[in-house]
Amino acid sequence: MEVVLPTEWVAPSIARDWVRRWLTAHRWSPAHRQDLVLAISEAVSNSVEHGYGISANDASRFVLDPSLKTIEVYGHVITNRDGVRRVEFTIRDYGRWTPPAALYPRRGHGMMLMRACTDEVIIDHTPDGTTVVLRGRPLPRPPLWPV
Amino acid sequence: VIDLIEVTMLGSPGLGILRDSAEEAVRHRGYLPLRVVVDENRPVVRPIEIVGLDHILALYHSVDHALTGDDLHA
Repeated sequence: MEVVLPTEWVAPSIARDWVRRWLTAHRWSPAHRQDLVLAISEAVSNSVEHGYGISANDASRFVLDPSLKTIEVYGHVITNRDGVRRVEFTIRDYGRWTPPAALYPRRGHGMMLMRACTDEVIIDHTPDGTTVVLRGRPLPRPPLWPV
Repeated sequence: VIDLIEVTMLGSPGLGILRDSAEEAVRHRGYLPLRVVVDENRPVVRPIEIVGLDHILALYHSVDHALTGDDLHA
């Protein structure tokens, strides 16, 4: 899965729709799917808010040069030899990270949600942008036919 | 009373509003605590539990209960 999102507040919602459909097509269970949709939504929200500095109260603002400023979401399924599957998502932005504390001293739910909904969260801030990797929890192999 | 029964997705912005509203209600003397209506809807209940808001909010299963009855902690 590969989606390029605009840097506006509609981005988390577009990401949720894509991830939900993609995981459904890959027969992910509803509970796992909901957790991953939430985790990715939070990562994309962080990119809009902390990467590109668009306030949550400023729903109308967007970055004027869409060719440079995007949020990319990649997803791929990793299947182990024993048939156990997991999914890995990468969320990338090209903004300048503003620490949450500078914007809202009392926020911080996003990280908590991402950690609770995945096996692993890896965040890499560089001057050119932020990359977040979300590793989903393993899912047993689905039956080859309905049982 | 906030009714979340029809809500399909709850993320950090919504959780922040719930927490701020609950604390706002507590700060005003004479106001009742904020009451929040949730059912078994996992995409709403789970985020509330993850961030621990279930310990702060008065949760009810229906608007009727929120207006008259005891909350889910009782």
